[in-house]
Amino acid sequence: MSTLTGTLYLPSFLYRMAVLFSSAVSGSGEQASSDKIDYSTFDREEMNERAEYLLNNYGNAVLRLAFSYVHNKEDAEEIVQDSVLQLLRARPVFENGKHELSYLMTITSNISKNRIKYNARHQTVELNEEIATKDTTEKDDDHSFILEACEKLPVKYKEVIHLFYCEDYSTAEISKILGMKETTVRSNLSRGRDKLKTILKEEYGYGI
Amino acid sequence: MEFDKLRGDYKKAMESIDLSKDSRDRILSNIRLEDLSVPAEKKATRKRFPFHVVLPVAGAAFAVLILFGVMLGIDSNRFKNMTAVPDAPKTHNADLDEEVKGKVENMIEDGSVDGPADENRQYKVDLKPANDGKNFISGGVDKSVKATAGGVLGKLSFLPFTEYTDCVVTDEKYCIDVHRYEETGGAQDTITIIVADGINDIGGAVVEIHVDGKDAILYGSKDDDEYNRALYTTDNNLFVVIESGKYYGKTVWEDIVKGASVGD
Repeated sequence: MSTLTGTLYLPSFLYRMAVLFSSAVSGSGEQASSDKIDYSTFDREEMNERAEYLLNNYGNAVLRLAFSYVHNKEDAEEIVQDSVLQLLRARPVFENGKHELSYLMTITSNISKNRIKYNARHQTVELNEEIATKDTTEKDDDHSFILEACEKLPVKYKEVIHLFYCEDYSTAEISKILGMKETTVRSNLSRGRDKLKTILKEEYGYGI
Repeated sequence: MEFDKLRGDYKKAMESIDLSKDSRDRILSNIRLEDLSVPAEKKATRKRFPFHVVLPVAGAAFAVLILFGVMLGIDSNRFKNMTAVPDAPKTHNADLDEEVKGKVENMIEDGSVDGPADENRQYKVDLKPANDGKNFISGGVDKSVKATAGGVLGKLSFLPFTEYTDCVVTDEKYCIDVHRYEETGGAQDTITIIVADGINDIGGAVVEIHVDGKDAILYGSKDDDEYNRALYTTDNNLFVVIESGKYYGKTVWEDIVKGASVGD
């Protein structure tokens, strides 16, 4: 009942944070630390050092998550910067590095969704598509079509597909990061997979 | 199992997306330039009320607003009924006149009112003095006021309504003098003159007129030039109120006031 109440009434962001603090999330973070991290005790220099640590250890994961939303590397890099800044300003306390990464992924997810809305309002989709295509095709011609196919999926499907397939999170962990029910994550994952399968097969001749 | 290939290919595709050293340095330099302190007041403004609090409060406020609007509408209608809607035209009924006359005479005879018994003054009823011997006209003057000042009779002798073909001066008198005008088309109106030796507030003055040495105040609507009541004071400090069932313009009221007189 309390969980239901929290789900319904607490602002989603606070709910997600509460869940993240209350239970351990075993993510796929790179070099996740097990020491307690208290940002509230950091001075400015320590903040800068921590920012560097975050970018070195979680930068790629955060960038890829952002990219899975916006499909634009420049936008994704801005999202990485905003996410790190938001984390530093929030001055949270983490039990360990895994919590810190999950928190960062949640922030990234929210900021990415906001960026999608912003881009839609400012009609920069066509330009972004060009940049995204250019970025991916230049570096990996063999598999860039998979990213193009993912771009055609609704946000609710591609976010779970990315976290599940790329970051190797379980559905329970994804539900905590995205602040949704695990059953919803599963159904979104299943439907997203089917849609992606169809797109890959029909448009790219890719057989699964 | 069939999606293991997809997982591998997706990861390979995503490996092409990485944070270059230049990008990392640029982001770090931007972060170093940012002010990371969060003002306390900014934190306070972020507080949001949950829906289970906001919705009932908003609903209650909306209900109160609707209730207030309904009550305001009811009050407005009541006010209109009190002030704007003229009395319904009365039809002349000779039987009723006789009945009323008989009742008044009975009242005089049985002593319920102090009225002179002589024939000439039989309709000039002196009510038992109230208000320290004074008869007062109060707010909302209407024909239920049955008071003259010491048996002084008010009269309306001037008939300004040229469009009326028939004029009947009835004997329907208590302590007031009633002139009834019957219009050709059948519609009727009753104009009543009331005399009293005191007056309480009968509503806000609208416009003043000066006719034949009388300084009268008209009540009604100045904007629409429609009035249904006039008040003036005589030289011997008697208060005269003239009421009409219908609304008339200022010029008509000037003629009515001009034709009004007090005394035998």
